[in-house]
Order: sequence, then C-alpha cells, then structure tokens
Amino acid sequence: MLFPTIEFASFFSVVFVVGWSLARRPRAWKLFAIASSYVFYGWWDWRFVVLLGASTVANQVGAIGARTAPTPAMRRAVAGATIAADLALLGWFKYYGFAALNVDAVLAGLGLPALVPLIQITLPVGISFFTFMGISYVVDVYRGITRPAGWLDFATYLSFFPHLVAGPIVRGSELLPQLAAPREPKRIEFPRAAVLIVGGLFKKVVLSTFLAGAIVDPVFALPGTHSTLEIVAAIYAYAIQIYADFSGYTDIAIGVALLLGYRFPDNFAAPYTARSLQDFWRRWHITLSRWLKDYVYIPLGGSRHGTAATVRNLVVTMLLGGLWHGAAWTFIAWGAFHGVGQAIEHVWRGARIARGQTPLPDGRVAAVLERAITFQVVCMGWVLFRAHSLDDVMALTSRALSAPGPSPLVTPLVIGAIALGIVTQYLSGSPWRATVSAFARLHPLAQATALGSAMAGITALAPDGIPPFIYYRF
Amino acid sequence: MDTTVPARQVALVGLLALVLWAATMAPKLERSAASAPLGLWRDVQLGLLEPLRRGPPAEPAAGVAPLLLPELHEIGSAPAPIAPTPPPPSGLRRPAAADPLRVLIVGDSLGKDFAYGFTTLAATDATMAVTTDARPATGLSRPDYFDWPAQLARDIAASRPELIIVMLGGDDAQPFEVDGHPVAQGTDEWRAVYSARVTAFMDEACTDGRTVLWLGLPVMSDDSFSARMRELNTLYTAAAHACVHFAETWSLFSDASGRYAPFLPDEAGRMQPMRQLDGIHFSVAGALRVGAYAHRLLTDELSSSSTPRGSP
Repeated sequence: MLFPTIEFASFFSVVFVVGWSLARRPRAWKLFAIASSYVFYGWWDWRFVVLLGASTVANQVGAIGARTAPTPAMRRAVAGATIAADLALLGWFKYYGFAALNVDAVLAGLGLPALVPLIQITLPVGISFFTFMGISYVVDVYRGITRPAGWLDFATYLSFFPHLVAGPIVRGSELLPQLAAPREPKRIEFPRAAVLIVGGLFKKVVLSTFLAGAIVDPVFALPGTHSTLEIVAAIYAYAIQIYADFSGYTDIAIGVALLLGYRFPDNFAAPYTARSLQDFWRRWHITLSRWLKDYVYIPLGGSRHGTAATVRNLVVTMLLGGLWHGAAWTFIAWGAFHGVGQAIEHVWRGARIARGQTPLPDGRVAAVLERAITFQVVCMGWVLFRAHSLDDVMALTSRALSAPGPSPLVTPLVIGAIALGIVTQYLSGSPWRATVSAFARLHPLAQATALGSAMAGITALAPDGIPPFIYYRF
Repeated sequence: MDTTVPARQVALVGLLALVLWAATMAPKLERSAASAPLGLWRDVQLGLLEPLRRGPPAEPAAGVAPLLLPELHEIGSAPAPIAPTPPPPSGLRRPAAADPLRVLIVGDSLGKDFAYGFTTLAATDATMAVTTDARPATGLSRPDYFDWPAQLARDIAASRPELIIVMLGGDDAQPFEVDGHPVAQGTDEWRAVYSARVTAFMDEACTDGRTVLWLGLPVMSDDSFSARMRELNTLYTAAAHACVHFAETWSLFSDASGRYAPFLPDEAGRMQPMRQLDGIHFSVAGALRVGAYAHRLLTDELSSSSTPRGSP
C-alpha cells in the first residue's frame, strides 16, 4: 500500500478514527495498531507478514535474553546470536543471489565448477529497515541503554506502519517510551502534520515523478544516446528526484505518525546545503547515518586509533552503507566513493588542524565554494547509485564530458524543477515554521479548504499511476 | 504557541478536506478507481465517487511532463547484423545511414525493459532510428483504462514507422467489463473479446503496409501466471495478420526442461540474473537478451533484403 493512493487514504481514515477512539484503552490500541500494520504490510504479499512476525519474536526473545541471561558471556552470546540471525535473514533475502552469482563467477574464472546454487528470492519490502531497527533494539538492550519492552510495545514498535517500509529508522529509545505513555487525544500536532503530509505529497507526486519522467528515466535508460547537456541535467535532476522522493516519503511518514500521537526523528536537514561529505551525511538519511555510526563505525574504533584506522573505519562503514541499499556493484561503488571521499576530508581536516587552522576554511566565499563542491561530488556519487551497471556509469561519465548535440529534454520546466529543489533547501527553516503557524491560525473551515485545495492541486498535476518510492526497494 | 488540536477537530477538518478534494477531482479520481482490477475495492471506490459524478471520467493524465516534452522519445539507432536465428519479419527495405529504417517500439513495462535492451544494442548503427512509447501498467484488455489502438495511431502519425515492435500483455490477464457485466478471465467470452481487441490493435499497426514484429510474453516465475501468459500468446498467434511476425520469447527465458530460469548465461558465458526479483520484469541482462534476440531477427531480414526501397 503506497502512501499517495486512495487505498492508503481510506486505510488511514479508519485507523485514525478507530485508533483515537481507543485512546483510553492502550492495550486495545496497540493490538489494533499491530493488526493495522500487518494489514498494511500484507497488502504487498501476505507471506511478508509471517516474516515480520518471526523477526518480532526473534528480536524480542533475543533482547530479553541479552538482558536477563545469568552471566555476561551468555548475555553477549545471546545478543550476538540474535544479531547474527537478523543479518542472516537480511543476507538470505537481499544478498544471497548476488553473492552466489559472484562466488560462482570467481570459481568459473579459476576453472572450477559452480559451488553455490543460483536461486532467485523475492525481496520483502522494508526488510532492511525493520531488520536494522531490530538490531538496534537488541544492541541497546544489551548495552543497557534501553530496557526490554513488553511484547505488545515491541511488536507495535517494530511493525508500526508509518515507518515500516522505508523508515525513518526509529530507535527503541525514541518510540518505546511514547508507546508506554498514555496518548492524549486533545493534543494532536495537526498543523505540523498537515504541512508535512501536503509538502511530502507535492515532493513525491509532482516534483519527483515529473523529473523522473521528463529527463532522469530517459537519460539513465539509454545513456549512450544523449548529449552532454542532457546527461548533466539528468544527474542534477536525479539528485533532486531522489531527495524529493525519499524526503517526501519521510515527511508523510512523520506527519502520519504525528496524527496518531507519535513523534519520529527527522531524517533530512537540507542535505544539499552541506559544506562537506561528512556534513552531507549528517543531513541525508540521518537515521541511517547515525545507525551506521553507532553500530558499525564506533564499534570498529571510530576515530580513536589514529588516522589510518579512522580512514579504514570510514571506508568500511560507507561500504556497508552502500551495500545496505542494494546487492549490486553500483551500490558498493557508491559506498566506496563516499567512504574514500570522507577519508580524504578527514585527512585534510586533520592537516589543517595540525597547522592551527579551523577544520574548514572560514568566510562566505569559502562556504559558497564548499557547498558547491560538495553538491557536485554528491551528484557524481548519484551516477553510481542510479546507473543500471558500471558500464552505464562509464558511458554517462564519458558522455557528460564529450557529447555535444541537441538537448530537447532540457526544458525550462526541467531547469525550473531542479532549481526549485535546490533553492528550497536554503529555505527550510523559518518559512516552513511560518507556514505551520499560519495554518494553525486558520479557522478549521479555512484549514479544510486549504488542505482540500492543496490536495486537488497536487492531484491535478499528478500523472496517472504514481511509481513506488525509490527507497521501497531497499 | 500551542498548535495542538483535538482528534475530533482533526477528523472533521480531514473529512471536509477529503470531500472538497474528491468533489474537485472527481473525474480524475473516478478514472483512477475505474482502472483498478475488478472487484470489491473497485466497486467501493466507484460507489463513493458516484454522488460526485458530473461528467465522463477524465482523459489519461501524464502530469506536468507533457507541457514541454515531445510525446515520444527518440532513443537510438541499431547496429550491424548479428547472427541470424528464427524466421525474420519480411517486407522490410535495406536501410542506409542517409535513410534509416524507422522503428517504433510500443509496449507495457515489459516492453519498456525490452526497449532498453534493444536500443542499447542498437545505439551504434545509424541505419535505424528507434522510437519508443512504452507505458507501464497498460495493455489491451482494459480499453476503458488505456486505449492502445488510439495511442498507436498517434504514435504512427508522430514517428511514421516502417516497422513496429510490440511487447504487450503482461497486465492483460485480468477480468474486464463488457456492456456493464463482468467477464472473467479465461472464459470463452473473455477470449473472444480480447482477441477482437488484439485484432483491432494489429489492424491499426498494419495499416499502410507496415511490418509488425510481435514479441510473445516470456515464461514467468509463478506457474499460474505463466499459464495465463501462455494462453495470451496462443491468442496473439491466432490473431496474427499476414503483416505480423510473431516471435516467441518463452524459450529465451526457460531452462532445458522448459521451466522459468531466473539465471542464464550471457553472451560471454557468465551466469546472469535474467529477471527482476518479482519474477516478471527483465533485469538488465534479461533486457539485453531479449533485445539481442529481436535484433537478430531484424538484422537478418535487413541483411537479406537486396532491394533498397524508398520511404513510404
């Protein structure tokens, strides 16, 4: 069930009304929330529900064991086994085919027969997200950061439909206390939720879908047939498309959760205004970045053991981050690109600090240059992320530099949409808050009119058939 | 400033907003609802929208894209002939760089995948100009949702193709309505109506002596879905006009026992995934495989054509 559909609007209307009618009966509400989330998830394929249920049971049993086993060694073993089970599940569904293919290819290169059977396995939507949430819960319980939740609370936490299929990756320490507390039906953050949902719908349904159809899909489908200008514009357009798509989804998810009385963490903070790659990853898919930092980078040693170890940890963490997005060499290359980029930045910052300078050059001109350079580098990375294959990456890169010719796909509307996507990054603070405040001051009838009109405008601009969110695939 | 609101007020404002939205956008929403598969959910949606009906459902929308875009994307040209395989389409002239053969690819999402493979292989040959109009989630069984013969007429007028390559039907194994009554897929009535729709599409494609290469549907991972695709292929073969060359793709994606093969060797002999994880759509390697197959059919014919002919 996709957010921008009549199905979801109908589903959510029922959940909202029934959910708040159960506000004084938390146990009934949680059971209803779990049932609703399983319906939402099973809409794709009922078998996924079994998987989600199994993941819930395994992680909760593991978390309880990681907290209550009699000795530290046993607690550590239980936590480790649970994490291994989570990763095995993810590995089976997401990486088995890719691994088997490459192992057999290496063996064939050595003249040996294929060893690993090739099996095509359906990838359940959202598995990367709820698996990471399960791991973070088990680790946090093991570390003593979070207490084991009750079964109902944990099942609600893991399956809660607003975040289920594409995040944000909410920590147990963020959502479980909210689930344990009573919900207040007279205090819903409606203006913020409404602005988030309408803004998210616009980003996804209008901006992202338009750029995809107008230039990104045609160019990335056949990079060898497009001119330099079209390819460069398509790369910028994809930067805006994926931002609008993913942040649009996240805005809707956060808004929907707010309407049910829960706060999710922010997932984006104007990422294309970043002054470095490190800054970019503090602004892009924030909940994944902090997950990788807390559960991979820091356990590897972080930046505590010298430059060489830090560089290694950065590259390993970003490689895993790339691989998390998908089982393909393009994603691994994208992760390596960002890992190496951040490693270079780290060495450079270290050298500046050693000379008694600030980590980044100061001044307005320097800031403008840093933002411009970071944006270009991030866009170069998106080529790896979006291309069908490494061959296509090569074709796009070479033609981006040396393919003069007509550019009928680069229209004023495409340029305008790209500009809109960039400019709004620099307006994401007070104008957004002002919109929320202005909406909050409206009479309820005016609010309804404004909302209905905005939705109608978005529908009028939308094509028939909205493609799924990009991050549903991950 | 406290901006929180009671749930009742949220429900009221939300309901009013939804009513306003539905009233304003009723034709488009109705069209969207009508395009859903026949069943209870579709009936519920149409029933809710019925009181708001003021006219016919809206025409298909493509969003803001058409405002400044050409309807068709010129996407490539084809290479020199490869090795010949099954019987090729006949009646094509031998093209030249100065006067390339105009090829139109039409299809659904499978057709879109195929177009990627075909045009990737075709990208280096100036003797062929390829245009694509591939529209995911469309087909021939639901003209109430998308009228392919009418769209094909527009495509033909825009690109004046000499050869049309068709890959359609992956979404067609579904019930439809005829004169207000539902017709279940797989019944004699369904087959008769669907065949008539295929014939109408072929009639449009074959006008002015054009050649049509109709690519059959491939084997699918789900057995029951595969059986439905096989039945559709039978109907395409039965409906094929003299100008239509039907080329099956079933065996291209089957193993030695005729079953769905998710992995097959590529031209270099390396095992590659042929299909996406849904077991339906082509992967990059699968798209290149079916693209190369169509290429071989076509280039074999072009290389054997001895008499260059003028453009129609």
